[in-house]
Amino acid sequence: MTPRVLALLLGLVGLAASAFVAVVVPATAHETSDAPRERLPRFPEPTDHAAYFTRPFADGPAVTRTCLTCHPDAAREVKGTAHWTWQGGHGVRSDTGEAVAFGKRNVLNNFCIAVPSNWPRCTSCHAGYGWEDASFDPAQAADDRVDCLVCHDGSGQYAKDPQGAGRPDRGVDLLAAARSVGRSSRATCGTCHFKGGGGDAVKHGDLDETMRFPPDRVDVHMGRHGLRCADCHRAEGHRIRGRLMPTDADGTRVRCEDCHAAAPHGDERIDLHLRAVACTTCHVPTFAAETPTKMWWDWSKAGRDGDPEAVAHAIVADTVAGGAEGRLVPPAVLALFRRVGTDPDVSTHYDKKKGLFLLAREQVPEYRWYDGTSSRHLPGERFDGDGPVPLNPPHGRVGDPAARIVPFKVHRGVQPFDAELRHLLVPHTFGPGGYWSAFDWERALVDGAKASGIAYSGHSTWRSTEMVWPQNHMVRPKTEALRCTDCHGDGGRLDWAALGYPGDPAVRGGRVAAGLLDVATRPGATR
Amino acid sequence: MSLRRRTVSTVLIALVAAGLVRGAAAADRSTTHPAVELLDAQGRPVLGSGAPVSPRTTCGACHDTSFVAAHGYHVAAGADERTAPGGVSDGRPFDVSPGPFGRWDPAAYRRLSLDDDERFDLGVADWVRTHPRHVGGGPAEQTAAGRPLAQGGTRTETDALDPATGRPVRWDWAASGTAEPDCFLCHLATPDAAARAATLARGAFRWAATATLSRTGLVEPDDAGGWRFVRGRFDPDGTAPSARLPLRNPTSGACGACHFEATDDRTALGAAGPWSPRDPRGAGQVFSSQRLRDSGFNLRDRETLDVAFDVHAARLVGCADCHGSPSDPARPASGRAAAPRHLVVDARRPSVGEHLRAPSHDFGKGVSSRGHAARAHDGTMRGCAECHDVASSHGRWLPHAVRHLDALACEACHVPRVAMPAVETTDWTVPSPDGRPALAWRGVEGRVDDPASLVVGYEPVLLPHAGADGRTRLVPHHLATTWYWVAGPTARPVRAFDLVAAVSDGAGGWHPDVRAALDSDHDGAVSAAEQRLDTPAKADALARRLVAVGVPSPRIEGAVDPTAIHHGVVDGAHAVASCEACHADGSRVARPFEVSDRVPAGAVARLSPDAAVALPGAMAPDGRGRLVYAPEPAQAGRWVLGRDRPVLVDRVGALALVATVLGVLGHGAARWVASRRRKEAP
Repeated sequence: MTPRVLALLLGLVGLAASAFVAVVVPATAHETSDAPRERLPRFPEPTDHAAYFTRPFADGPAVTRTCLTCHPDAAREVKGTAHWTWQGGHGVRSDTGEAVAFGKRNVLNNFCIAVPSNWPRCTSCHAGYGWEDASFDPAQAADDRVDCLVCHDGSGQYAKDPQGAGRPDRGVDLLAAARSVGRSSRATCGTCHFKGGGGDAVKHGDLDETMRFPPDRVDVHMGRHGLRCADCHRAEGHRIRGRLMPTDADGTRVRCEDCHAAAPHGDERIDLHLRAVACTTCHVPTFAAETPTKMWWDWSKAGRDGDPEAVAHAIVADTVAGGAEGRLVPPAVLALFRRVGTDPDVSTHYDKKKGLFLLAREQVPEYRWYDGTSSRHLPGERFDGDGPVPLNPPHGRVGDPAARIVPFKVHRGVQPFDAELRHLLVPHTFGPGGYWSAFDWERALVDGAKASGIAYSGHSTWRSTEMVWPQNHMVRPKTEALRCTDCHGDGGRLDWAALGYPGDPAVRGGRVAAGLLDVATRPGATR
Repeated sequence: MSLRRRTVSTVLIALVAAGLVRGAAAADRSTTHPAVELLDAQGRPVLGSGAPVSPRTTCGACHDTSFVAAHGYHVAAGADERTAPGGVSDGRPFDVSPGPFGRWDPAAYRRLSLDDDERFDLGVADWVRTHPRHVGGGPAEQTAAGRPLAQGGTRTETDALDPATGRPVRWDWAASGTAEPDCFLCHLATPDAAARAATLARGAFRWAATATLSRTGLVEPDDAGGWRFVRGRFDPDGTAPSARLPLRNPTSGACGACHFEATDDRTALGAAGPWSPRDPRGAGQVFSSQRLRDSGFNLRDRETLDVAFDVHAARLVGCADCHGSPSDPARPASGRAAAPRHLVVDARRPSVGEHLRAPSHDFGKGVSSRGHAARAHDGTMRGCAECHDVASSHGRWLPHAVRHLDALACEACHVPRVAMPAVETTDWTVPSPDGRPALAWRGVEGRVDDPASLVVGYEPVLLPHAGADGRTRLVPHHLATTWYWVAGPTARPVRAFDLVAAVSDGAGGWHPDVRAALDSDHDGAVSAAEQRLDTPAKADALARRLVAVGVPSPRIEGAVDPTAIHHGVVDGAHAVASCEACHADGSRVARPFEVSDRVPAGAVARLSPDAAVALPGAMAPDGRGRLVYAPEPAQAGRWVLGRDRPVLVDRVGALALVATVLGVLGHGAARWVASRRRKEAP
């Protein structure tokens, strides 16, 4: 073979290879590729701290001081986060126009209602030690008040005293906990977040103790793939991404697209849904997969003596019969009341201190448009509207291209309301003189008003409220996800009219085809 | 404008405004049809007259029900194509129509009698009583001459079988009335097909449509065997409120009331018990959005069966989306059938008002593999390629896509298995003493009525079948065999009455001679396994009994009936996509298919004459007494690469190989010899 022929052959091979690279490789690269594992954060191997600590610790702050000797910035970082300040939201009161900074420390919910006047019980979930009363100022608290162990314990035995203002339980072996520290885990996050609202599964609907070791059918991420909370809620300088119902888009949302491809299904029709439907809408077909969650908390029924089951039964019977007990029960809750006794997934619980609860498991979420931001009913804000007081209504409309249909648990309740000033009231429940010991609503409301700074006219009534909880966890594998007919067609779970559609978009077209998007945002619109 | 015309216009406008013109069945399940006043046959409000509801007058207040009846092959059931006996193309000598009314169906067995039949089997009244799947109207109202049945006609039209004597007796049409086309059966959201069937079976034909309303609460049975109207449930002005009488476009569930197992019910299939299809001849097909694993059936590997029973149903495609009314402006009919060759689709459509006034009920259909009724409407349904861009979706990965699409129907790969059991054998040669045939099911391990039996489904057989475009492709089919006695020169099937007379003792038990012949284990009973004529002695014993009850020269025949499998479609991820599935030994294209679990002694089964498929290959009993069809694609002119090996090519190849080796050896030897010679040369 002459050198000329050899050169010609090599040239042809090179030309073919170039053509392959130019044509085939880009085509392959454009194909949908969903490789979420490759996008998971890579954590360094945790340092074994067992050898560092040999002597017992006197208390939690002593542990923290030791931590800070090697991690001097840690306390400062933590003290800049919402886990410490219990504040971070900013809102404007609709009645006065006043700008209000808010957070867990001062807002009202429809579970235990509010922190002020009930600190030691509520702050048992604070990432610190000693938030006993209104005098605790997170900004001024000493660094050693930060509780490192609650997030970094690996011993599994670290726990907080449920009434101890964040202090460790008496039986905790602080030395063992300190020797075990490492990355946060499902267990450490779950210590507080699985028990929001005062007990396992009470508040969120998608977070409870089953998430420590969930089976595949409960959560595919943590079950099948063994993910930890921090794999998605990634942290930098102790600032952890992800806020439940933020009032502003601060860019810290955890998104499925952080790991998954934008069009991951390999099915064009399903992928097109992502323009209008959150991933969780299909992949969280029900919440409270194993453990019942609270759906209804009626404080107005508190204080009744007698057998709790009998009290609950009487209230349910009267409510279902259309009696006065159900005066404030909205239709969605009345439907649950009607299932009591026949549906094993729905049950009641009565507690003289707290009133009547409805609990349910395997519940179908309610679906609303959500653009990732929400409003917050602010402390002392006047409410003159009819119907339940919306405590954290999500923002979003069918016409907003940034909004998607998202599944929510809607927790509804009845709680104290000032009949003259027309705002929600804070009752003093926990501690000396609180309602849970004195069973005196008037005294509880007066004390609560003093502690919270929310005025009380002396004339209270009961008011129904609702609070939404987006369902982001308990994500099911594709085999358990919703299918077309779950939402579309006769008897589908979505209320298209309520969502703003003229009819089922499967046949009427989506919001682009149906011309529902805001004019300025439509494809081709001139801006 | 007359009051009536004003009313019609108002209602039509209301219908349009209410959105009832929406085409897609998936969305059109609203109950926004206006409230209607139920009228009797004379047009009087039933609340006043107490007479049966007449769909013809009730619905006819706005819709042209005469047009609907005249343009609906579900109404005619073949009666509009009646011929003299033997005049049906590809029919049997005693068939008088290509449809269910007049064409003998071996599985259903009973046969509409001819006027000259010595042994009367089924009069028109009997046919109506025993065919509740017929929607009414047509032959259930009129004679072949077009007169009302009550005005008399041929013996078949005037008489019915006396079950006590086996002889025809006069049917009192004036007392029974006739069964009108029952609009409610398909258009009511809550029809009571069972109550209607029971009313028809009782012979109270004029009450049939009223019985269909029984779930609305507007009617309830009275003590006289009829129905009475519950006044308190009507609106004060006498109309039936639409909340109680929700009328709508038919859903897949409405079609499924008669056609195999189509459902849009969200209740899990199988939750109520084992597989018991409403149409046993549906070959195990299910049209449902439900996932197999969510069903209540004891399916093999159920937990892994994430696929829906039918992907179209799962994607909200309803029956009417493919089999829609040709006049529906929301569903342009198939381009092929509706337009001349130079048009893809004929854009000229009836207006909404025209369609609502006179909607054609000659629904889009394909080309049936069995029976030839309503052939004028063949190919009018929406075919796969009218929705799917088959070439682009398959061209990217399927080698020789054009060739595959030319040889295979889409279903050949997209219905790899039928999920549910199907009747394989219907044996009428030894019916039970109460007149039921012995049935053998495929696709289930154990008794089909036992919820513990494992349901395994089956793989259909691929048969050549000409589609709407005239091309013959391989289409998945089920083949079922019916064994039955025939007699006489035209081989008419022995009527059911005589069969029962031959096998029973008249008191519900087996005739002693039959029991003695069949009771192989001498336990005094005839078990299901013994209820078959697997030896000449048993067949002779039954033949003697038939002769004894007056049947001349009885003999056994078998009919193999094909059912094309078009439903139970799976998506591409679950379809057959492996080359080796067809292009290797054991190819699906030539896989043997059991046609019957038995072959009665001396009997031969043949493809039914009205079958529109061919069976290239051989059909013969195997060593275990089963009838097996072994396809041979080559006989249909099909060459299956990887499976077929023509001997000539093999031999030429072998010869070429041997010749090459010999040539090389010879050449080498010659050179070696030549080199030796050169060395030895001086």
